[in-house]
Amino acid sequence: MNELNKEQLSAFIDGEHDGEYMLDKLIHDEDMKATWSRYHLIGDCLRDNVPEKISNQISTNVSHILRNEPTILAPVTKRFSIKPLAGFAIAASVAMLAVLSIQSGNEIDSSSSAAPVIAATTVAQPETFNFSEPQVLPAAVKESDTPESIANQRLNNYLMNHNEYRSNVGVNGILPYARMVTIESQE
Amino acid sequence: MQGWLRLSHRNNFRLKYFFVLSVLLFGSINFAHADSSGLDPKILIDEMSKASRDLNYDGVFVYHLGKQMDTMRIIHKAGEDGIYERLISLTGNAREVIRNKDKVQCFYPEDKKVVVDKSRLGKLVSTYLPNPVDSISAFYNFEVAGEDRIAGMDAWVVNIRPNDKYRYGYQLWIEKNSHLLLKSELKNQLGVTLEQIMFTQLNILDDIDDALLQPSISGKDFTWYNNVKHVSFKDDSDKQWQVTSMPVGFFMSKQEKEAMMNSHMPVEHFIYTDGLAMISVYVEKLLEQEANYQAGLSSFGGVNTYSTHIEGYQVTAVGEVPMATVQLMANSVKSFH
Repeated sequence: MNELNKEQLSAFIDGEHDGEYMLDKLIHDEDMKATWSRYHLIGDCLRDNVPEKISNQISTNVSHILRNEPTILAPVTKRFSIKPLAGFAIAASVAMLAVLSIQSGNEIDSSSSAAPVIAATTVAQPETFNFSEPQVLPAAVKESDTPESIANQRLNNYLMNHNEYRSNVGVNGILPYARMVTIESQE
Repeated sequence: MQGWLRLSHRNNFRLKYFFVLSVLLFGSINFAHADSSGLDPKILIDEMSKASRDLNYDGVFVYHLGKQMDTMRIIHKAGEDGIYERLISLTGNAREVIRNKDKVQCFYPEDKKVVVDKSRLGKLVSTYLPNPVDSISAFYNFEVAGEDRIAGMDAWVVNIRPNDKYRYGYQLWIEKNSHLLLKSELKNQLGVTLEQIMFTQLNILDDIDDALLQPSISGKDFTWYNNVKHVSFKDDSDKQWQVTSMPVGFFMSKQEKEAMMNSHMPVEHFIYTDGLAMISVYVEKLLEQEANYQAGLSSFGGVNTYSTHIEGYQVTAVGEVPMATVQLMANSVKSFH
């Protein structure tokens, strides 16, 4: 590493040199990296900004951790999820609006109509969202006489019945009443 | 304030810390103040129960359950001859529920179906008690936690916290003037909200036009299922049932054999309450093909259900209580002759 480079590096640290060029060099030159951290340490010492213990391996440790960190693959869930990454929150809210507007149109086709809407909003990585059939509009499936469907219908009856009694109670009277509208109907 | 300005840069952190701490302290002083301003949370809740029943109102609220969110309109009329209520779903299927003191009508336009059932309005569980809220004091803590604003109106926030793990808690937003409920959250032990409603608009009216209480659906080519004038079942069962174990504070407020849709026999129905939470226990004879099917646990928002088989009968507990409670009660059902 020549004197000119050292001068440039020093200028870069002081914010007086073209950053992009130096960053590029720093990434590829081990010698330069060492000089860079030395310069910073000198600066910190001069400014009386040094803790009691110094590790000169922080950068190595950090890159080691980064290398070993598992790649996060956003899981494909039934309904879209806003959990995975902070950056996705905005994307999700745009997608949510899309869903709402489709739903109000009342013509829902999970796969075909969702895709163009997403494309139109130019949201990054639309493939991470999977639009499911909306829960609120259950298809009118004729129940068969399997033990499971009998038990489900019976449970629905119980829920309706329970909520009817419950909705009298003043403390939370509207909640069970709302449930009655939401519970699937039964015959 | 002069002293604050002389603090060095280095003390900035400490200053911030102090600020945060004082905000926390002042925050709690505010809460304490709300509680000591002569407001009794229990009286507020009683007032709310009365207001929800006795006032005329027309409002729109959001209903949130798990990942599902719906908007509904409620029209409530408290006439001389009882309560008339109409609930209309504004999202998804245009379902409607209309009820008065005699019957409940549920309109399901997606299936072209109307289900008519007996009304349980006025068959109150907790208000039968002379002093409803006082009777539950032992199992819940009540506090006026602060103030908030919902649907453009000022509200008191009232917390109801259970003292044990067998009950859920509530957070209620009660409008300061009318005492109507503006928002309500059902919470589990960890403080997680299981189910909530919140009004976005609420008008208190002097009177409500009867036309507003008519269904928007004529139900003309709908199939009507009437459960009001049910043929009486032949009940040859000599079995008597009893729930033998329940959390402290629950008592039986009703026991009845009920005719229910889809059931070939009357269903034994017990209602237990601690004055706030309510648990139904249903006992129904199993069909032959069901012998090997166990429904077990399931939940619907804040409502948990547990089913088990006992001597060829299905016993199901349903209630706005934790799973442990419905499980405990259903498993404790015993028969005797």
